[in-house]
Amino acid sequence: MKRRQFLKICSGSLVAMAGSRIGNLSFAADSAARPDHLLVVLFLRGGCDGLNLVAPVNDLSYIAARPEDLRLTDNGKYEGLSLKNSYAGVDMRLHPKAGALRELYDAGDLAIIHGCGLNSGTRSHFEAQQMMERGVADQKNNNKGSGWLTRTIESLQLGGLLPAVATGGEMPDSLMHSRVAVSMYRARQFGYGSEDHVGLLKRLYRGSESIHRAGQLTLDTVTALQSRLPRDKNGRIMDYQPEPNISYEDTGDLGQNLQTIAQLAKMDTGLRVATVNYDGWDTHEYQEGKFANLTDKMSRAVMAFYNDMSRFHQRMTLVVHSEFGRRLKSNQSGGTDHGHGGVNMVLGGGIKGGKVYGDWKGLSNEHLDQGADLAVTTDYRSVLHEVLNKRIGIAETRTIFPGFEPTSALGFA
Amino acid sequence: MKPSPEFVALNRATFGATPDELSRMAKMGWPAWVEEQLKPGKEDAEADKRIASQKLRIEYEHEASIDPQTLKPGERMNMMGGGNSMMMGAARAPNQDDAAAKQPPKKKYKVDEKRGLTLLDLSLENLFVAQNREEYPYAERERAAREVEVATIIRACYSQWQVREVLVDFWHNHFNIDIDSDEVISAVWPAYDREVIRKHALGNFREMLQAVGQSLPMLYYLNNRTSRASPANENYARELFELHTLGAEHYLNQLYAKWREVPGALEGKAAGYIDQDVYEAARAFTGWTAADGDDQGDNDRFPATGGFYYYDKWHDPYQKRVLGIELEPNQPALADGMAVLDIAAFHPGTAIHLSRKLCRRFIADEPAEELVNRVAAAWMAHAKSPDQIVHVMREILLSPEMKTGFGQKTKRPLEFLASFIRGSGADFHPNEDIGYELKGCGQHLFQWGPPTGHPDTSDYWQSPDSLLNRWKFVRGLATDDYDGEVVRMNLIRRTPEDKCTWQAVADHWMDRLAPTLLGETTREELAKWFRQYEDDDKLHWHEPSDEITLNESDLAARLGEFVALIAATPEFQLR
Repeated sequence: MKRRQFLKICSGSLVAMAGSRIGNLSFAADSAARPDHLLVVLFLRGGCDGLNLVAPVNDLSYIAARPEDLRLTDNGKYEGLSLKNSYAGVDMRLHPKAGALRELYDAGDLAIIHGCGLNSGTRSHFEAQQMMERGVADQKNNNKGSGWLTRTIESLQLGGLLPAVATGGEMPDSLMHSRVAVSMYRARQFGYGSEDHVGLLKRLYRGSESIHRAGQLTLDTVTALQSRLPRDKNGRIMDYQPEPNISYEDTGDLGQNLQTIAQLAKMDTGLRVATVNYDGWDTHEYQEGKFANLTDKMSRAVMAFYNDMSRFHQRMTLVVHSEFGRRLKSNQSGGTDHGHGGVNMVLGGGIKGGKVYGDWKGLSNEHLDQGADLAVTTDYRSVLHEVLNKRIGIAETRTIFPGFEPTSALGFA
Repeated sequence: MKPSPEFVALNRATFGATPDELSRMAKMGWPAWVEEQLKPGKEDAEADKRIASQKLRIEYEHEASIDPQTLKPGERMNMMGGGNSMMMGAARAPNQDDAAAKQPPKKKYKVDEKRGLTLLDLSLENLFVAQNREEYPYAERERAAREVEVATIIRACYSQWQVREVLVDFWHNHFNIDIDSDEVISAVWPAYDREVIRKHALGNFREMLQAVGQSLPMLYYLNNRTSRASPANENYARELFELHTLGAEHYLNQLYAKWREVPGALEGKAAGYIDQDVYEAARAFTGWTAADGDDQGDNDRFPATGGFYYYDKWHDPYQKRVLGIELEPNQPALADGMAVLDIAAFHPGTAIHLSRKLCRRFIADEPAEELVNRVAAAWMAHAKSPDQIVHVMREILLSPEMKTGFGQKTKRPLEFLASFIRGSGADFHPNEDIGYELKGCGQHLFQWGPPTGHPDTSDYWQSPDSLLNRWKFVRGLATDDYDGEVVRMNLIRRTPEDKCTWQAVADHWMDRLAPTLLGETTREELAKWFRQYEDDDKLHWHEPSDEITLNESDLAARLGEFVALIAATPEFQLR
């Protein structure tokens, strides 16, 4: 079966399956809280070159700034995939390896926002990620603050067995200081000794210091998961089985981490927030091959996950972002250096996808940031605010994004 | 009960305080112990002996066309001795005429053996030529880095020069390089570890900065080897400022295009850097590349020694301005880059950034500013001394802060592992699985992707996944999940014969593994767990003063679980 058909079948069966939930959707006004909504944040670490992912192929400044292998073109080896509903008069295209993303776009579930990023001058990975994950745009409020997802969880007063998970094992800054978020590599490996051992450790981790709280959370999660993970006849925990005909093949750790999210979402542990990292986008040299591989894997992994999660489409949103885009003009190493504006993507059932959002001013020198980089025309928080507001029903995001004043909605949600 | 000040200091300065080291230190006094550690000798008997006898499995199937006998003698290294001499590949030898080599048909070679650590002492050039063959199987190419990883773990556990070992770990993390970013990095990793990191770990920062910047691994990892005019590749120049020297705290990019407004810039003493400095520094380093045999065409090949190479054709020779200091156009070879290294290494911001980072590593996640300033003053005062870092470390180790405030650090997984091995006195022979386990705990030795290196604060190391995996990891070691070749706990044999009761044995191992460290509740709970038993599906407890009557295998199993649980206590996670 071709993926395109499959996506449609999934979307179709969803209506039938969702049944009782349709009523909920119909009153999905901004203020209607949908606490069962799952928010998945995919962070492309290293600064994804938005101008290699989604680009105006006939823009003369673009053509002049890069050799062909670091560009998308309208024909030939690097011919990009056309995007309908793009900016007027601009031939915006998607990287040829992002075929799966284009299917999601054409199906109307994927929205693209270009010129998106951090309204700060920084070109440091470290600072940009830290600010973005703390929901701020300046150095104030940056240090030691909790993550924007931590505050999202707090504002929803999420409890439950496992409301938030950071896949891949590491806790990102966006979940910093959360008292409920658990980092996890594979759910099935999240166990320790016997109940007797766990019981003893629970008696030792009773204090209020951070190490005690972390230990309690760890041990409670062990108990919750061990009793819920499906086991075979011999009592051994079984591997996660994606839905029939879904293949995460050759999608690496990204695919594995997305499967962990799918598995937990289906286990009814109350999962509402999940993060996943995808490293390797810092393409200062030999970008052509690296970028193609990264894009290919991301695209297929996202498609597999979305199809695997077909039951959840109406109550899930996947956001893809990166700390910054990259320089318009390439360097002499066949790569690009740190830039500014980049691409965000939002995926979910009911997203007004199939459209490229954002204010596109073009790539001529006077429209660039510092004469060098794609300007940020959409604050990254506008995207996140709209997701929280329209998809999850959080009316007020001032505490989540300190200092951010929402402007008119982009309209994708 | 609070851990003693001596324990706190020793535990932070090492990969884990042991009762023996504590009593040795008590005899000689802390200042004398520190002085001894700051002048490590050549001898490191226990660690060297273990490294010399350690074996690592290597297993692969490989198809190759060239018999090793056809390689020139200089390319058939002594590392080819032993059982793997049948394996071969065309060396990436620059001066060899590839077309002239008549390649016989490919043959299959199978290797599955336990091989000693044979690559650690090879010269850079030998490693580069021998290990970096294009036809070489992956398992062989990455072998050199694997050997360094195992040697590093052995030294953390057994080296007598513990302060140096902690510093080596610190510098590797500070100048983070991911060996997976290019196979050639793995190939030369022993030389980098030895000649760049270890050689300068207690030396002079300016010298180390240059040794790192001119090393093949860093030139590859941060891409400077391909940087040429113009535009230059900014990767290394940016991280030089942000990570290696001044730190993001001195990145003043709200002044992006206004260099004159950077405080001090007009006097050539800019307080921080902006993107324009990154651009200019990147230009200064154009042409700084690696002697990797790369073919530039027109009979122009880089030498193939694995070292540094300056390629003038790629250099941008014109005037530059870095942190307010003007660099003249058309300077002699290397002068531009050297000037940038001087500016960055001797900048007072670098003193603060590195001093804070060292204090953070040795004392607390958030070290007191006053302490940081004292250490930074020592840094600046000795900026040109060959033993600058000795002076800096003396300031840190002898500071009053070193002995107070237990628990302001969470052990990194290697610290956790080594402190368990050191505390328990286990006989540990780490194999290739151990690095993998550390990764599961969140520490990717030499394989951390982003140039920032691992975070050094508790937020990162206290993530549930990291905690759980470290508990599981030592439980696996203590209860013999690994084959007997990796670890021999010998817990019964090493329990003194006069300890016969449940309480005495429990006390012995708690004091051995975590001297003065465990709180009263923790001790009681652990000891109670130790003497519990099941009968009729119910739990019962032996009296603390009862003699232990378990048979040997049951007692060994129980003691294994017991020491693993000691290592899983909240107290044992902290420094």
